[in-house]
Amino acid sequence: MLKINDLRVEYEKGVPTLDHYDLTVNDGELVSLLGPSGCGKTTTLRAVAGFVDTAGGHITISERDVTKIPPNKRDIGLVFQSYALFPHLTVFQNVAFGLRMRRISKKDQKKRVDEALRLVDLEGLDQRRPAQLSGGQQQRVALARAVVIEPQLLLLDEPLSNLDAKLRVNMRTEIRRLQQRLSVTTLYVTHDQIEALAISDRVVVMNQGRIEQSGTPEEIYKQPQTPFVADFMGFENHFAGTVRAIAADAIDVQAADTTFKATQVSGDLRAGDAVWVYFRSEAAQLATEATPNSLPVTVLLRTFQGNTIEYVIQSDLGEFKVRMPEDQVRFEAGPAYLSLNPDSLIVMPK
Amino acid sequence: MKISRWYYVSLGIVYFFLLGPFLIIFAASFGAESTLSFPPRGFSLDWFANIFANDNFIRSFWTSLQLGLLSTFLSLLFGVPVAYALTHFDFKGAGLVETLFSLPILVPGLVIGLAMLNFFVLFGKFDMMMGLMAGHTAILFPYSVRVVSVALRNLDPAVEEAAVNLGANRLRTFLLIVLPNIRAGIAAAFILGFITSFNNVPVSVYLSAPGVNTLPIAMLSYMEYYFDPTIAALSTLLILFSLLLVQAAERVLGLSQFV
Amino acid sequence: MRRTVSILVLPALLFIFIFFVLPILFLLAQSFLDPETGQLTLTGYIDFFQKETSQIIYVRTLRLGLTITLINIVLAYPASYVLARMPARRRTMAMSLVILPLMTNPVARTYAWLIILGRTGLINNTLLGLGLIERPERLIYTEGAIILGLTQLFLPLMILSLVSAMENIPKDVEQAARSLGANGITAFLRVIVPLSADGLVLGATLVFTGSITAYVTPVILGGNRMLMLSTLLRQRSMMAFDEQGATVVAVVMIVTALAVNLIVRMLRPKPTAQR
Repeated sequence: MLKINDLRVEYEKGVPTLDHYDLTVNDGELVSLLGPSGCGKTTTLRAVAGFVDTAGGHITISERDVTKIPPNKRDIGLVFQSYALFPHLTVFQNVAFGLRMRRISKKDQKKRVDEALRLVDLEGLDQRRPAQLSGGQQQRVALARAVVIEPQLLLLDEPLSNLDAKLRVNMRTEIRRLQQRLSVTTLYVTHDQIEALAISDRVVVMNQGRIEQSGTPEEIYKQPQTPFVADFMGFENHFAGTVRAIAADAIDVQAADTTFKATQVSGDLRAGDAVWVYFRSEAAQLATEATPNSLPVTVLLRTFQGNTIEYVIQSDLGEFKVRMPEDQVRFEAGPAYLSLNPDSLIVMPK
Repeated sequence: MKISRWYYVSLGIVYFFLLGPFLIIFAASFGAESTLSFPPRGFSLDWFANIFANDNFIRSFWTSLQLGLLSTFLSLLFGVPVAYALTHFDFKGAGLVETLFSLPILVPGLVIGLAMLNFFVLFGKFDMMMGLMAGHTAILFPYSVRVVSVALRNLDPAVEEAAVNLGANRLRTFLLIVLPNIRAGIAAAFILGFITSFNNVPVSVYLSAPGVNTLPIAMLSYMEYYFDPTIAALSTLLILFSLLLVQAAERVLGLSQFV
Repeated sequence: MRRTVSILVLPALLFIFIFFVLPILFLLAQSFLDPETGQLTLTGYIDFFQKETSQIIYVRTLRLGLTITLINIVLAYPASYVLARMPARRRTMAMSLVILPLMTNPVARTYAWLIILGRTGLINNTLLGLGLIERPERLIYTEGAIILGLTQLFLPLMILSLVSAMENIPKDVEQAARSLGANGITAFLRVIVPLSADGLVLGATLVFTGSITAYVTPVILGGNRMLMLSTLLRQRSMMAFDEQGATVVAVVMIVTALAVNLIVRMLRPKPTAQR
């Protein structure tokens, strides 16, 4: 289990990159840190690995406080973005390096390296040099090298970003399968939301050194709790409103002249609070007539996108995007109604 | 895009100017006459034989060889740690250290030689070979520090971190991972350093004494008394030696990127 | 970290301090001390700048340095352009020949010019043979001889600086200029030259400071008749036994070389946005 308590990291004195940072990864869990570049996710991972000095707080791995322990004594498996294979060593020697540092006998080294290479499907390539391998194969060597030491914790720093799109999807599945088979506690850093959703038990969205939201992939995708997470998870549309009434199962939000019912609420809200209302472009519908929870709009533009048709529409609440299945009735430029399902509206404090 | 042929003409002129003189030396070293003239008359290998009959050339050649190898080794022994510190740590005074180790290239060699001689004389008798060694090591620092720094910067820092992460301490990481990967840089620094020391005149000219001098100094003093083609013959050998070394180094290491 | 850095840097610092910095400081002090009384004095410097002989030598040194630098620029620019545009493998070969003079024993390199310029050398024998002159001309121990020798020595440095600057110029920039109607020469002058200005400045500095401090070439091709600063320094310390006079020349040499470097660094055009 990895526990980070009240961590503070400063690259420049007095200017924290991370501050009051808490994170827990349970045994056998795969948690991904998701966020744009500069959000502090890589800093967090490097602090855990011991490559950046901490200015405060504690990092505990399996009940052992490693905050002051040098990086070479932490027993962590780490997979780098650039793979960082040793160019002058063979695949076998690369994978065996950690065992060699632990003074494991030659015989056991051989046994464990062979096993690790089998695990990542690289049998027979053990005498090659990194330069003679494809990107995907190098990635597997990096994985084998990290898990062969049977680490308490596995860290992966954007491991798929150097692969082409197709390979990335395959490797993603393989990494997940390997992690589950070894049931190793894993922290996974990425900027790709689809990757994070696909691979994780839990996703932690970070922004400017803080955790915005932590939850299962489904929670993150369906119920973002802050504007940042909503934006990052692809909610294209939002408008401002005011809370009118709160009931047990729904909330009334007024925006312009319309009152909307919404069921997805984040945070404590009271009547009169200013709020943001978010919805996905595919969760909205265009209609020819007014319905409950609808808004008069003007269709500006229609574009064909294969399975879907995308509309750009204008309303009193701003410009929105709506995406509807290709086989439904098409709308021409001109007046229409935007119909919003209460379950697809996410309300959060402004 | 096509390059106008005038550019090629100018490249030809440059090569003629850089390398033509060498061809003339080659030709002159086979002349039969005992005073140097060109075009040479007759053919003889006497002047080559003359080199090996001259004790001073032989002795100073060994001195130069020893001096070149040892001072290059010393400059790397002291210089590699400096290059490592400059590329791996962000410490106060790093800029100053960098400047200090590039100074011996900016200060004229003749001045360094004179300054060292005057300074050593302060302490009375001193060993001339030691003096030469110290002087040459000092002037080689800029090359070894710079060339090794370039090689270190070209190595992905993640590779070192990977070794540390797998349990290697700093020293083992350096010996097992860094060093094997900067071999080419070290070799380039060694060749560059050796050539610089082997060919140095301005520093050596002050730090030589009867019996202790380097090959270029022995050649200079020979020229003061004799005007025969022996020096041409010796020059031919030295030019061929440089040509081989440069070709080998350029092919293996890309020497010109470090000069 | 501080301890690690100290362990790494201190031995080398100590070495360079004892065997380089201290001697230079001592030399600097010597130049201000009266050799007999040990008193502080400026006579050495006053002598140097007042005596006509040293004035002539100083001015000559600077003038030759400038001439050599200019010749180098003119010779190196078009040649460097060809080299920079060569495919990588051919360039490697070509460059290894260019740097040969830099890597060659300086006495051997300079000796060639004696064979060319000597009384019975290539030029005199050719001119005599053609009947253009009746007696051999004295060609060594002249400024021209020094210029030839030093140009050959420093041309490689100039070319190296220029080629490495020109390598960074993308080909399409030049093609863009040509497509906009510039002819070859205009494109070269308006596009290549400004974009390689950094390399030009660096190369020119190296050649100039190298020329005004070089020793072997002036001693062989200039001798005692055509002294430069370096040969004057050597003459004062070894033949005239004028210890202080020699240290003064040495300090003038260091200061001139460092001043040129400093001025260039201050005037240097800001690195272009490209790159």
